[in-house]
Amino acid sequence: MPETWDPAEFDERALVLRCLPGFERASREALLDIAESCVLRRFSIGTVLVEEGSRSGGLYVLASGYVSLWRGKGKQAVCVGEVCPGELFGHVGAAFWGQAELTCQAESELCALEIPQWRFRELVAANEFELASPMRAALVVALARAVRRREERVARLLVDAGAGEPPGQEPRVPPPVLEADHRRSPEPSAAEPPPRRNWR
Amino acid sequence: MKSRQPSHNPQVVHRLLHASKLFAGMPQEIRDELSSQFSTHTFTPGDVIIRAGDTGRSLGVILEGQAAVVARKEDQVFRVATLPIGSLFGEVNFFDAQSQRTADIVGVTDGVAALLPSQIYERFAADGHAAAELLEKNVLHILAGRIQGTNNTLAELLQRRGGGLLAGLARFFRGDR
Repeated sequence: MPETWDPAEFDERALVLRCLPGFERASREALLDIAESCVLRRFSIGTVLVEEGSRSGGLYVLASGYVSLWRGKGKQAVCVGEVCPGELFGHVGAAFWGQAELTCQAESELCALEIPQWRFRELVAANEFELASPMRAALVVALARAVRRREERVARLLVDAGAGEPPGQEPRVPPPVLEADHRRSPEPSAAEPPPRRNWR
Repeated sequence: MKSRQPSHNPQVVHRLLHASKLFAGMPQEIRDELSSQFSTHTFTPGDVIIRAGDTGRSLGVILEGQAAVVARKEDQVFRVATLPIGSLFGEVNFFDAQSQRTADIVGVTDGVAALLPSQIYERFAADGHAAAELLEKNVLHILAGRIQGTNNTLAELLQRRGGGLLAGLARFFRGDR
């Protein structure tokens, strides 16, 4: 259902939402409906947007700036990931396990679109497909990317410690690609995290 | 590219698919309709099921055997995760047309993978078919469980870096058990 989009017709909230994977196929009505309950917020460096273990807190789409993700408190705190503009973060666990898994902290001045928790829960569970599907798709992509990045870090830590699993038998050259619809030659990973400081 | 022929009869494939978490909670008629849209492919150790950089968009399930997620960074090739029976792969590209595959999925043992092309999901979604919604919800729940485990493992490794845990894991993976 291709539609012609005029950015001037939408406020910033809808434009930020539309950057999320899954939302490109959202109808104009669905996008505006979801955007209506969202708030665009600005945070200063060091602000904790969501605290690990908390049951409150929304879900955010990062419009600009950087966010770091932490597990643990005090000296035990470790940075397990980060968020780049255009990505979803925050109390992702709200719909599944109640409390926030990680602490989300602003690493720069940032602007993020907050989707209130009640709205997020409603959207993930909703049977109104046109509204809920883009939200679920965006969440799947966010979770899958986060899983992949963290699994890669686990693998690298294990490799560095001499504990990495061997990749298995090296892929044969030329390898038989079983998937039928590949179209492009390999290019660098699009999910590469940006450079960071203070990485533990 | 070499696409292989299914080695299983459809009833066996349907049974294996229906047993996976991807089909959890689906009414029988939706299970049957959805599972009939998957294509199956056998793999052997070293076969690349999905290659990093490809833009193909299929959601995969390991039905038999074991595969691995293999990443290449600079000169390093390392196994990021092992995919046992029931594991999903290809979720990002399946739901995000703009993404590329970020790692190879490589056979570790002989096995069978089932692939659902994204066009099928998109057709269901366009028709408002319940299969699309149930598929989204099940993939979400599978990933939600997986990220909890990954967060815990990563945080523990980072907290104990240089300590006993990594050394213990090193011994485990080297086989000094």
